[in-house]
Amino acid sequence: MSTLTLIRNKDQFKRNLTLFILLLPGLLWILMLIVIPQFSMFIDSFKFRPIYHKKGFTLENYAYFFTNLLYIKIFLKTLGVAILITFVSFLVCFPIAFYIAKVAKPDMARKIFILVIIPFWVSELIRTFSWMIILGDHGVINRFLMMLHLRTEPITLLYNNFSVTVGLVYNYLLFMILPIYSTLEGMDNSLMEAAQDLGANRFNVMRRIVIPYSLPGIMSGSIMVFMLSVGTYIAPTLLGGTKEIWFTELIYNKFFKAMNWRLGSALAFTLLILTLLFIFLVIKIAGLKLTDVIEEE
Amino acid sequence: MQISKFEKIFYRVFLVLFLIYLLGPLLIVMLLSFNTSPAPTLPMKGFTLEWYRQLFMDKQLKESILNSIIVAIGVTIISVSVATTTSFALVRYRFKGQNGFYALALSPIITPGVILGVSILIFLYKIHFKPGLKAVVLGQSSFIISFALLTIMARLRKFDLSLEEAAQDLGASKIKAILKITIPYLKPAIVSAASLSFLLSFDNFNTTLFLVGNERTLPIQIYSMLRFGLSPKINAISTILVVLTVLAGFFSSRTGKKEETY
Repeated sequence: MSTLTLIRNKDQFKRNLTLFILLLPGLLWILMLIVIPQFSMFIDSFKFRPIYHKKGFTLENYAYFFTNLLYIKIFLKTLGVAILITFVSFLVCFPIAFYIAKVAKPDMARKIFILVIIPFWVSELIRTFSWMIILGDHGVINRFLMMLHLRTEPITLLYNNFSVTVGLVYNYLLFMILPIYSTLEGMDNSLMEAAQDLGANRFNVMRRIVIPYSLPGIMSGSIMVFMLSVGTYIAPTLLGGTKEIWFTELIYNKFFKAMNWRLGSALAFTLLILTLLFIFLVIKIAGLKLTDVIEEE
Repeated sequence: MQISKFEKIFYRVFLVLFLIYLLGPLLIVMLLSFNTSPAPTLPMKGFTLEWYRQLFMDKQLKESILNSIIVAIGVTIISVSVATTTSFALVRYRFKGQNGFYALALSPIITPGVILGVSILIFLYKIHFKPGLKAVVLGQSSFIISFALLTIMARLRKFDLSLEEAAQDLGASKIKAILKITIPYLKPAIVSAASLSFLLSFDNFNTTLFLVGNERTLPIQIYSMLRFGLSPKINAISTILVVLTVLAGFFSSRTGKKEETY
């Protein structure tokens, strides 16, 4: 072997060693906190409950879930309300993002931007609590209506799907505004002007130019809002009460109340698959790349 | 762009309603912390600091704040260190399976927090690791590292490698060049990754709930107070937290901007 290849091998070895050392913490993180835990949850969901003392794999946890009408109902409701929340967030956030990116003067835009971000520095728990105060039977809205003698009895605003929707839209709308804003920010204004010059009315400019252009942002936002809504525990418990159970509450109950971890794993794994499926669908429809979607946030 | 008068009015009204929706609830929470009525609702009956006095007497609450700070410091240290080394590996090297590695590294951002909590609970149980604050640190790190990674990678990608080479040409070793040139360059990103990590950890509920066992972090403590019923005491602690986080947010975005300029 010539000296040159020896040096090259030595350099190669040094490079690989450094790379290995740099990668080690990250590898440990991904293996110990992401891959192995989620894989063991997956495996557990196919095992019998320990009290049966049976070995081998079974589909009974999934069978139990999919034949239980109540569980199916909770699952579908969570899915439906989460999609509604995502859609409402889009309706609320799109005009705001558009206004900040394209209509407001830079100075004004900066001020609005700060006002929009401030509430999101505050913990999710406190933001949820604020809606309990506002929507409760003796809450701010009901007191107000009764003071004005518009109502003699309080309207039930809390502990239903309405309060969960209002609260979750409130909690996660920044995740919709930010990506839409950043795609619109990058859009050349002359695109809209050209369309207008060519005779398009405002509605058509929005429909044919602005919305298609900001589609990647809309999709990233939708993925985040859907995922956060479907996977949160706190707002649905506090704002949904005991009548409207969220799927994550069902998972929590299986783990800590019924102490049936195997069934809990099956439910959790189904939720994971559902989220992945939703993300996959959205990405396919919009023709995006997963890592770009995440980096957009 | 040309905008009609009608549209201008529409946007203004929409914006004002939106800002009321956004900021109103928090302002009401803060206002009611000074109300004499023991039920947190309008109208204001009188001004009092009683609820704040009660806060300072609450031992459990103080303990949970301390727990949250300990956890947040642990998570911040882990997240920033793992994110920094991983950023170097991902930005400076090309290796087999890199794309897969990167996708997995970002996946926790789009995984529901409840699932991270449950799966880590199952795994820790298998290796006989008891739920508690240490488990919470691990659970929160699982996704906070991803956020720190994005922050640090974004800046490392913009780094001009020739600066490091210049230092080496001038006689510095590779490691010294990185410590003296690259790390100072990364400082703003490291500072914002650290403050983001601290904030995300301090606020976390969904993942923490599954791993905390009998110990309590502040969000868990507030949650259990809420289950007993609404009390202006919760408004008081919320007000303090809102003021602190908003101040911290302003502070970190200020320093972030200043550092960004050079």
